[in-house]
Amino acid sequence: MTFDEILSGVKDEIAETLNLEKSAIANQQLLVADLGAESIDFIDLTFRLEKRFKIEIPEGELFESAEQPSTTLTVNSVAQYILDRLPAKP
Amino acid sequence: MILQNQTALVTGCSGDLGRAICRQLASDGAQVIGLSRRDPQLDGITWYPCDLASHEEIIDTFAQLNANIDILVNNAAINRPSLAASANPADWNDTLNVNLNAALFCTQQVIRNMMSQKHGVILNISSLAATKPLPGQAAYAASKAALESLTRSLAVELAAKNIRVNALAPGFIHSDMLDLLPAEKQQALLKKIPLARFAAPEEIAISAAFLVSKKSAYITGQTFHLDGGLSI
Repeated sequence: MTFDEILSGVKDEIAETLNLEKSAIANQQLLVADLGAESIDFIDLTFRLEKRFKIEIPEGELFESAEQPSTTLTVNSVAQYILDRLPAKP
Repeated sequence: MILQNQTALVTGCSGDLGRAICRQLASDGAQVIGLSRRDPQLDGITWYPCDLASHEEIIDTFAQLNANIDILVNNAAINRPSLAASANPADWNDTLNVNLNAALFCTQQVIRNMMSQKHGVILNISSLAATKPLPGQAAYAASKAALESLTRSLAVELAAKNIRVNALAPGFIHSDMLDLLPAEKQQALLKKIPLARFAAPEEIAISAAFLVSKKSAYITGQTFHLDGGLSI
């Protein structure tokens, strides 16, 4: 899966989670400050990303980590996280 | 039928009230899944054995379900009578594990899909004891009071995802357990109830069905007392 495909999938799930139009979601937007995500949305989004990309996201790893607090997360950084955790193709 | 095409899961389905709730939801059209330690021997529901005192067993059981749960009724409860002053830690913890913790853990299992579906309903079965405990009910009463508080917290946290959470607090219900009380004790209880009778499990179940249906679509975070006026 390419980064662009992942990014598109991430935007689909963010749109569903936050009840937004996918076309209104830009790559560099902050999930909290720009898109209005709240704590419950992070739980919802985690479930959706796990289901869509068939990965497990350990609790607190993506959205509540000290290295990447939720307020600094962008759409791009979520996609990068998914890319880094997808199994590499042989 | 108002619950057509919905799947309801009822914990503690083998007791009198759990069985009545299962029957009512099924008659309203829901596919009903029941969890309990004992087989309720109830036609028309799918039963899974589950010790709700065990978090691991709850997780394992839900993993087997292969169903999208639209409605969760946290009905499972135990009562280990003891004065608070002499409460046994094991009994106290067991009571909280089944009556409170299991409700939270079952909720955690179902909300993933409820959020994905953008709808869901959770009903917690509390008790009059939460606000008017009898002596010897400290653990049970504390667990039910906490369950009512959890109901409010969940309602606030999950409202944005169109998931409603309410509680029912029944008073005295006709049951095998109540029938074991000596006649004079039953009479003494009846004198305190303005409607002068005990509830039938089916009466509680009808209210449960209302609260999990679209008929209560604007109600969330509430505890409803079904006690014949005893809590007045």
